[in-house]
Amino acid sequence: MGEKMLKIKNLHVSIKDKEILKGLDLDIKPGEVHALMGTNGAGKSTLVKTLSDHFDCEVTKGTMEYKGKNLLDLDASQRANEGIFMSFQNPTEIPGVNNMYFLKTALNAKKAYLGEEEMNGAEFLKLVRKKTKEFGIDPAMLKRNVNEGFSGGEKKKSELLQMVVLEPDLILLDEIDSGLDVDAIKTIAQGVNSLLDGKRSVLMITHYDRLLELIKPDFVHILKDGKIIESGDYSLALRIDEQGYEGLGIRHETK
Amino acid sequence: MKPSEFNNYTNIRDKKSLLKLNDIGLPTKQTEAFRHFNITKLLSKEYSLDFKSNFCPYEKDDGFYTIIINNGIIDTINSDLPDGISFETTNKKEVDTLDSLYYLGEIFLEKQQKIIVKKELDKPLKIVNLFVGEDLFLPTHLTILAEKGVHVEILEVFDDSALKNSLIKINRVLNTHKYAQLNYTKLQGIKQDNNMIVNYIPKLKEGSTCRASSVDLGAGTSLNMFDLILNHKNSIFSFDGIIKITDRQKAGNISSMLHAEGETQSSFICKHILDVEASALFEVQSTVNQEAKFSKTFQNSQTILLDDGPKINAIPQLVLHTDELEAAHGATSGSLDEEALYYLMSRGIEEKMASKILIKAIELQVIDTIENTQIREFALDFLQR
Repeated sequence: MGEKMLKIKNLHVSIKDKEILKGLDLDIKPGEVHALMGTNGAGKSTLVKTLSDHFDCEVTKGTMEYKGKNLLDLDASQRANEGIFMSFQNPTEIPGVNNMYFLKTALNAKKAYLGEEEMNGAEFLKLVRKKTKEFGIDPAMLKRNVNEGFSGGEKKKSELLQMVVLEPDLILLDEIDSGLDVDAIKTIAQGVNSLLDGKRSVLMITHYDRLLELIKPDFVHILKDGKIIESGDYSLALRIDEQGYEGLGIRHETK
Repeated sequence: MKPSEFNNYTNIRDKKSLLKLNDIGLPTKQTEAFRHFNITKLLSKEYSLDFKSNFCPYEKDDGFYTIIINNGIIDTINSDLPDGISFETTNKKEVDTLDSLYYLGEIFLEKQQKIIVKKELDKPLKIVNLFVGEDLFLPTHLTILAEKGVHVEILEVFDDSALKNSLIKINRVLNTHKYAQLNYTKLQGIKQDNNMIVNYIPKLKEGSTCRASSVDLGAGTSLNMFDLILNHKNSIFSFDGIIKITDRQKAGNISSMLHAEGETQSSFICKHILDVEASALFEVQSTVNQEAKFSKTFQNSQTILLDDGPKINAIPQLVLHTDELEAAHGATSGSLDEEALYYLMSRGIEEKMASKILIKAIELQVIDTIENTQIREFALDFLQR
């Protein structure tokens, strides 16, 4: 692996022919935690969706390199198996697909991709039992269908369980704190922090300081009109929390 | 013989059915045009009739009582007839239907085969249809009768491995007496050089229930036709089906459901999973008469088009003569849910596998409606094969 885990250069992305990202640059090294902040409509979610090859996002210009590979050559499943994990802001409900079956299929798909031996049912059960216990997740969730009828909190815990089972290298958190109570945010943060071993990296989108207190970022970036306009350390997030974007001279996006 | 030229056939065995058939007439290219499901080609092909029972070996499954039907004729020697089931070959009872294809099967059959279930069985009943021959027209009739208060679980399957280029014409009368429940599941996966037309006549007495499930995967053309009159209070009919076809296969359900008495219920739901250039038909009409107050009727067609080539013709129809009822109908068609597909892929599951998982989920919604565990598991295995 080179020095940089993720290298984004002059990225332009359109959704339905409307340009959202307009020349974004961002580098993330192994072990770094980056926070992405900005007003609504600035393009934060578009960035993480683009990194995960969401079908809405069309890259019109620029490059994205991950572990030395051109991300544009990889589809969503290949990116996931290379270690990119996006935690969805609003995870999709999939009726008829059992959570346990889904998670085991995903884990074994990754193992097959990496040329590792697949896990049998007993081994997998042992692993998920350990993880649910460790993070206080109700194991009954595994018997239900993927996100079907889940509350907001349950959906985020399900995302956390997937994350700790799949052990990604680059974790993309898209407003994982939205709609969660303080205790639930702590659980999510505990899960993310448990994965941070100095090699894994995080890019998280949040509007609030609350999550950043629990997952301390090394870098904070402010996104405006599809570009990063300011980068700093945690103190930048504190300034936003105190003064708001307008206090820093950043107006809300006009549609 | 050509089925379309039935009047030229010299050995008609059921003259009453012939009269009805002449009255109604077979579907023509013109009458079928609006359905985009022309079966006239099938009926104008040259076939032979073969009323010899060709005995085939069949390995029974301990989990079921097995009734074996060879080329339409019940094999009483090798079938299980436990205490509680009897089998009769009787003179025909007249069946009134507007489906001429029902009579097309009947004109060649002199007697009526009937299974009577007199008490609840400790295992479900599996009807195994074995076919042997080439270029055959195979008419077959079976009446299944659930006596008063009896709950019966039936699975019907077909083995056409020794059959070529034939048209299987099946008539099933599902006769459910007072407060009885007949749960019937049909799993059809025959070869594409064979075709199958099934006419179902459910007959429900007061307080009885008939729940039909159907999985159609095979056949060049397969068609299920239902003619149902709910003329006894508190009778309930439901159908849950899957049509999963590919290449140039055609499959459809045509149903007429008439609510003639109050507090009756009908539901007709089918999911279509179509690939390549397959085409499917969903033509369901529910009529609720003025006197059928407080009835309920529901219809739904859901179609997943896996390619640009497949076609669905969905015609759900409600004809309501009273406003004191519950009724709903709908039809949707589209590709697999792309958000769901993306979600699975974003966790490392490649697109082909993710599609398979989502298709299986749709199938499961139908299979889950099968009440009996053994039949449900058999159906799951069948779909996976």
